[in-house]
Amino acid sequence: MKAYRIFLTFIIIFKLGAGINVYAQDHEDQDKKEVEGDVVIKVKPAVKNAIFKGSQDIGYKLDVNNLYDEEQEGKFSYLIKTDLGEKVLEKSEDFKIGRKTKKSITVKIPPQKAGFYNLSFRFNLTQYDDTLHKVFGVDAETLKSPLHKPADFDEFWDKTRRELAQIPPQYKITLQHELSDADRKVYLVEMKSYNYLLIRGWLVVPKQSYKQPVHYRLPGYVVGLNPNYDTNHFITFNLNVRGNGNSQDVVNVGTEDYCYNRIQSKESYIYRGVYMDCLRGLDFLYSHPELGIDTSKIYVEGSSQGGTLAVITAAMDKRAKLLAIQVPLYSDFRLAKEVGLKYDKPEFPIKFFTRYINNNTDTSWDKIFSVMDYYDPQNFAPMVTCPVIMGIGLLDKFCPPRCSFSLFNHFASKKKEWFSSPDLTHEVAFDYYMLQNIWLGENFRLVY
Amino acid sequence: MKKIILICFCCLLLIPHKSFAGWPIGKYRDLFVPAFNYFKATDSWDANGKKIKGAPGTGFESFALNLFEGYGISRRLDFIASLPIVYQTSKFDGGSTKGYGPTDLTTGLSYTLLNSNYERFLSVQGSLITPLYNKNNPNSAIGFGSFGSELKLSYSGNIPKRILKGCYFNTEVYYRRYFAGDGPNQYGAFVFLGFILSKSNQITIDATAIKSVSTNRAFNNNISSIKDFSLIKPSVNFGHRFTRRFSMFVGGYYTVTGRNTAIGYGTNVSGIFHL
Repeated sequence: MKAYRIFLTFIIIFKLGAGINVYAQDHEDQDKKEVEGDVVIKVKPAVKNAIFKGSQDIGYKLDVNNLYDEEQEGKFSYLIKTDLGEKVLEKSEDFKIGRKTKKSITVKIPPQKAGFYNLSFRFNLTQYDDTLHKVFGVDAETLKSPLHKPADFDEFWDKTRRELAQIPPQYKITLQHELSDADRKVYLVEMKSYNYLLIRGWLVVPKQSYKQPVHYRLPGYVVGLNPNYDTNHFITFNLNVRGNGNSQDVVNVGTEDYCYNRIQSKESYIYRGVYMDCLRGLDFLYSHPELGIDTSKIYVEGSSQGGTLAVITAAMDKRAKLLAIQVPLYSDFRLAKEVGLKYDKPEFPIKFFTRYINNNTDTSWDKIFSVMDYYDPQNFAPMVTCPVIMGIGLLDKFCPPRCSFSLFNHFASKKKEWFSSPDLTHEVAFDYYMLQNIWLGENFRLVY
Repeated sequence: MKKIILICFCCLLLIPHKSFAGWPIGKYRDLFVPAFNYFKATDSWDANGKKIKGAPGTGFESFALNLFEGYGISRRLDFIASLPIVYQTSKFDGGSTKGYGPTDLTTGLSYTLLNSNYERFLSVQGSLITPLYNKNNPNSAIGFGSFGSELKLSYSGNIPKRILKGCYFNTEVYYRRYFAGDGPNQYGAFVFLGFILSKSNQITIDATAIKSVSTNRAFNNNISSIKDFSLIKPSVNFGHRFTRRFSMFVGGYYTVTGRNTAIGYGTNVSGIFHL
């Protein structure tokens, strides 16, 4: 039957077209940048997340597109170093590519031991000289990192929590008419936290007839959070811890000073109050079921500093049922310092601490560690038992991937998964958020 | 800001979809879809695809309740089961027949082979077809009466925003084999587009094509017994979400072209329950 054949052909073309479309979409942005008089190189790891198994070769495919109107000739080389800068392997070979042509190179590296490696591909050609930097991991889930947990760690935090409990929260919830709409109500939430500091957050409540799960978001490093309108499937609570966003009445320090503010002792360090602010925020959510909050379904989430704050919250307070973090800052801080000092030039946050030490002759890395050991999220990780999802960027110099995995591997959670974005720095790819949504649905048995 | 935009993109994925068979149901999620279907045919196409006007008072009419159940075993693997229960009558010159009862139970597993950014999914589904009736019983002539199996490949997901905003799709091709000596072997294709109109409303269009091949080429007024035929059937539906756990779709369809089968139209009403 002719009509049937036409229909079937249409379906097959549609399926093929859809596949091509997905491919085209992925490559569209890169293709736009292609201009004459350039060499465009696309690097793809053999496994999508660039985390290889210790038993397998490490593979990369490089697609080289010579847009010059003349042949390019010279050397192609690659260099592998550990994340601490130790040379592992170096290779160099002749390379030639004709004018306006494309060529693929397959790089096969022998299996490596568990760890993270910096990989540089260098092209030194007639008119083109460039180096492409990549990072890959091997057996990341087997990486071990010692905890540097002080003997009185638990006692210190128990005492701090008791002090927080003594402070009446004095919650104040103000409906923000100008920010609310037909679908949701927005509230400014104020409360007293550790040392009687006033902190604020934004609560967005979609108008629903049933109790709703809660997305409790904590802020990045000196980042002010605004009301979160992203979803109608969760109540969202964005808390600005002291010194962030609209919680800067008393603590209002610069971006650089924040990370070492009052770091002279573990008792005075800024993050003591910051960590308690996070727990106070959870106190607020748990004590206000009348706002439609399903207190059995609160998940805590954050990126960078927010990731660390989320870890601390889930570790110290079991009322947080799920933990979603991206690029967690300060993880395995001692290792982060070692890795960070190997970069060509120091990056945040190690750069700030280095400057602080250089400007204060009475301090040292050991003194910093003696305080940071109380605050390193890795030391809290064994206390986390709820399901966890973590996203990282492999080119992240603020939160080196090995440090994130040190943290991840210490989580006591039975259900934990990770996602890596090989081409991103201090962020994660779109796919991660899609996965996180699916993960949330599974763990909370949500019907969206 | 980037993250906000990304999370907004995720929302389309969370809108209830009619093409539930093509999408992963999701781990631990439970989907129950009862659907009522009415079909009526008076005319037919002959073996050459020529339209034959039915005699006055003749035709085929069917009322069917289809019960679909899907359960997400894991992120990639779903269990599916489908059971149609029918009441049908065939009127022809000099008489009529009727049949009723449960027809072919389909049970199977669907596995997501690939996903693209968790937005588009390529799935394979294998199913077993079990007849729940005795075809020799005159009141139970409601199918081929033999065991069968089906292999289906689906590609479904959100249509990229830059092509069509607020749309999703499902495409399927399948092969179905009934184990009786004269089969039939069936080759099917399905294409589906859903247009999100608002938070609660959507319109869907789809078309089904079936080619059924058998050595038994006889025409039967009871069209559920014809083994050698082909047809194309487009359909339009309107969907409304009443609650996050319950949506309904109402629609109609028409057999636009075919061979050795009835020219019919029908309507269906389905409910989607997320349990």
